[in-house]
Amino acid sequence: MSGPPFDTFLSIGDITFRVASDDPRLASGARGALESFSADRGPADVDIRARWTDTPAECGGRMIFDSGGAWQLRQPDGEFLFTFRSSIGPPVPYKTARFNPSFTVGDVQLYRRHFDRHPSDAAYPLQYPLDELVMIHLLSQGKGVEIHGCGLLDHAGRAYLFAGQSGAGKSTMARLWTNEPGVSVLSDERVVLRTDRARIAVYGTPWQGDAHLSSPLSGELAAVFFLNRGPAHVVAPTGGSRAAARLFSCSFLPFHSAVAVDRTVTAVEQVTRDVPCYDLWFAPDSSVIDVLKRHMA
Amino acid sequence: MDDATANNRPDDRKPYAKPQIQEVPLRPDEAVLGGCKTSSTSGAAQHRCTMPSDCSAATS
Repeated sequence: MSGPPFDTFLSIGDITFRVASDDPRLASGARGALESFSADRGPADVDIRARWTDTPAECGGRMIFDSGGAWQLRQPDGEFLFTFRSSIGPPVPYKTARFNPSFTVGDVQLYRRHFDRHPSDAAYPLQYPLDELVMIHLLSQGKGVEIHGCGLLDHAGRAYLFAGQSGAGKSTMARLWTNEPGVSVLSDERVVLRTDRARIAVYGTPWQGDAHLSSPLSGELAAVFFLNRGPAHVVAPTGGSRAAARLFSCSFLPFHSAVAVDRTVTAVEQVTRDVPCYDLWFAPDSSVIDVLKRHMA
Repeated sequence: MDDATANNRPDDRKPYAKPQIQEVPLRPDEAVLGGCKTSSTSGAAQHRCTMPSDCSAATS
């Protein structure tokens, strides 16, 4: 493997990322929640070069998506160029990330002036939302889908997805299970579903919610629960089309690409066809565990 | 009885159910990973962010 002298490896959702740089600050070992997702040096699915720049990148190419928030996506010369802006600091992108069409090779440039406040700290080139943007573009190539949900793994390797948007109770559900023997929380905020396997697999991610829970473990998807808050615990089967719609509403995908949307819909349909789906209304107390166990055997 | 006749027996038909539209909420700001999670907005968890994002600057 050639290139810059410093590099670090991560594996998320069975996709390996290599971040390489001439500056150790940009390719230091993973910290915090990312630490348990560190991977051994070896072949990478995504090879990213990170560097500082003193000249903000020009934003060439046709804009194909505006998030309305921190990032925009342009398409110069058939490649993909993300630009990230903040209302803090100079009115130029603090970071740009250019990727080839298959998202296997990337070049991330960080505008040095933006980061001058903390010159001794390591800067994470894939800082949110770039890490997840790369992930959703890769998954939408037919590999699977990233879901807004809490994931649990039992002692037999069965995984359970609790899907819901912000405020639905993902972190609450994760906290309720933390002391349950034989159960691991894969994430209280985001999980990766891989549908390109003989059986659908669920992977934990380092992207945590309010409960700050994550794990690099994975398991076979056994059931999906759609979270709803209620005064009592109720579990009811979710019909096929409604289940697909609910799961799609909790999916992250590149909305700028009709092909990617179509593949994500296919993945969502596969999940709701192959795995039991339930609506779950629950009150935030541990008695819901016994109710759920009747549907998790 | 041929197949066509058998398939049209009244007893074998599913009762007609009027199609219904069910709305499933989609939150655009969440779906496009456009913002950070704070008490007023949603997205990825704030503690994951480091400078120079807006939300981390607001709490630093």
